[in-house]
Amino acid sequence: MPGSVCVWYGEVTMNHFELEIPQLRSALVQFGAIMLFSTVLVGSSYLYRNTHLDARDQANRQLHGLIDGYRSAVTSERIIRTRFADFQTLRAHGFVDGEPRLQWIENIRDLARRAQFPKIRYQLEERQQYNPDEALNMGSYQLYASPMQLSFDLYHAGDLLTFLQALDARSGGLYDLPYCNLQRLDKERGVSLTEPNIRGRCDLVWFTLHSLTKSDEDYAG
Amino acid sequence: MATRQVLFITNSGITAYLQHGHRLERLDFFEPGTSGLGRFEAFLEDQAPLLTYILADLVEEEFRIDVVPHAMGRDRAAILKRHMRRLFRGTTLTHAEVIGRVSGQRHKDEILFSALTNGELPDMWLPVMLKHQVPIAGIYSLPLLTADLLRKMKHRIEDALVLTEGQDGGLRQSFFHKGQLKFSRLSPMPQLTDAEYAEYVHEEIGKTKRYLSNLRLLKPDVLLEVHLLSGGTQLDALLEMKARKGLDHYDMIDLNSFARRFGYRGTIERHFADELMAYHVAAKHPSNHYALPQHRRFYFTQVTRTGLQAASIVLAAGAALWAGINGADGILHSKEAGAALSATQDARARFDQANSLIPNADASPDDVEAAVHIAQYLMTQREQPDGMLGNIGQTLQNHNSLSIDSLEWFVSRDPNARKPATAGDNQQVMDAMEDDGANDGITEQFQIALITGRIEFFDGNYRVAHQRISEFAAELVTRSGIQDVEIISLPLNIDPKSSVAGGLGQDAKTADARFSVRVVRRGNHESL
Repeated sequence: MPGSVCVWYGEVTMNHFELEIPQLRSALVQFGAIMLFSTVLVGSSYLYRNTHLDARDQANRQLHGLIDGYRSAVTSERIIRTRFADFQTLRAHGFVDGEPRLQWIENIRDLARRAQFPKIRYQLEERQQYNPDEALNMGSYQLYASPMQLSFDLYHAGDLLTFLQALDARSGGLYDLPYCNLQRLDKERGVSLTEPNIRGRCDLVWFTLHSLTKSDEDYAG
Repeated sequence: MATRQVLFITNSGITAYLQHGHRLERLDFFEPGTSGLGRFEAFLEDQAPLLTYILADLVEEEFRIDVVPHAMGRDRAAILKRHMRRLFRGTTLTHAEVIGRVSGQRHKDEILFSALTNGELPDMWLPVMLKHQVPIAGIYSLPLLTADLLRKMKHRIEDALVLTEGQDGGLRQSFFHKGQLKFSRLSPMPQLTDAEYAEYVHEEIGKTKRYLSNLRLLKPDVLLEVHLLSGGTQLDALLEMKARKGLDHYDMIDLNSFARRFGYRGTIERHFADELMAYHVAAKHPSNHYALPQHRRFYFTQVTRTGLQAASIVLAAGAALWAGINGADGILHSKEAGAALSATQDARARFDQANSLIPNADASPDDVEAAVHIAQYLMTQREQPDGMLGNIGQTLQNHNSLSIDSLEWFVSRDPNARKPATAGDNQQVMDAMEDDGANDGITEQFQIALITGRIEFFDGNYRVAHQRISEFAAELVTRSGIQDVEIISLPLNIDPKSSVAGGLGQDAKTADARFSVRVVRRGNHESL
């Protein structure tokens, strides 16, 4: 049969289906044209949508970047205005970008003399990296700790408190005091006004902040 | 608008019906022969191609029931085709229906085979239709469709005979067993009066019953339920005969009311069932019975073309909708982008202004903030022993008999710590400061003092000594900041688990009355 085509087999007594392709030509052409047109239409509309979507996203990113920058600038201005004086004080005391070991030792010697310590020995150890318990914003700094051990004789326990209060008042740096031990020297003897009555030992830790971007040579210089 | 037509073919010719919704319009009748064929051709030429159902009610329709091996799919089709070719040698218009399994034989199917052996349809009418590209949905057997009528009737017993009369055909009697067509017979209907009509029908039913008995399709003494579809005066005559003869198993059905059950809203003027059957086939669109693929190719083409056109419309509408949504989205995004750009200009101005207000500094704000915060943190973490020593000193003033020999003070996050983990080793000091409580999330600090001392001028009275130490501890715990005071050891160890030795008199030496106390004080914090 010219112009006919076998499509598929049916059930039971049905053999197959035949189609008059010439009669379908216009419908097929129409379907193809609409398919092509639809593809172009949807594709171009999709492109149009995505172009504007990208433009919007880019503009939003730019806007949010500026908003974040504005907030950051406001925060920076507030920090500099309210904190920079404290920062400069810390730097002047050698806490930031310094290691005033000589000043610490001079302070210890001077204050021990003023507190009338009959004897004092100090030992300042090598500086080490120190990581506090809490997660702190360290900026571009690393915290260091320099342990110091003090051994001394006292006439009276109150002299130690006087010494520590004076050390605080001098603002010679930031330190921690984790341990102290006081022993009566001669237990059978009464309190002497001319001889030391107490022997003591305290552990101190001096803290300093150092910029990660600077080398030790920079500080030495 | 009519889209379907039914060509009702009988031995007398073809009647054309046009479907209008729930009604049928009888268009014309074409008798066999040159004149009728010519008119039929002209009829087809004048009309647009309508979906066409050919309904056949012909004497030359044969029915056979046979058993074939059970099979499925192509195998079944091949078996049935071969069987039909053997049963009906002179025609290609054949049909087969599986009517059930043979009882007791699982692998045998009972099949109703049928065929149109009339030569006029394939030789005369179909070529004209195909010439005019009539989309034939199918060629249908009126007896096979009668099974649909039976389903709508009050069907009480297994064996039923359904009678219809065609205007140009005759009296059609179809026998059903358990709802399945087993036999059908078309007999001519002469011109009769109403009374003669009823008697004639009754006689014909009797002949059919005898024939069914001869074929062993109807067992002897089995009641046959007879359903007669009729109308007009003929129905009245049949009802009168039923009453007169007491034919209780005869069910006389009015054609018009019965047609309503099929949704037909036209009026059937006479007692012929042609209109009902033609409407039923057009409305139900049943599966084809006899038409070959080549007869239906214009139908398939039309269906495919309609499908393609519908798909084109759906595709175009879908694409337009999708493109519209994309376009609307694009416009919306464009407006949003414009608004964002406008806001960006304003934000840039504010950003520049805020930047200009930042004072000059030789350190970054982040570093300034970090350094100050770290310093504050370290200072708040620092403990001084002055509070603890002050508490102990003030309490001792009220207990002159007690003398302190040593005092060990340390800071811990564990209020139960009994010794400093750090004393004497600088590396241990560092490690302990970093690790102390960090893993437990404990942030509170405690000052702990371990005091050892003795009773001055002890006279050997342990009870008094113990009492003084207890009083000292009781007063110390009331001091500000003190959390706990624990007596670790007393001058006399009165623990039941230890042994005690001593004496009285000149030889007995008075021992030192030593004691030790552990004091816990909550940490104090300082600020920058």
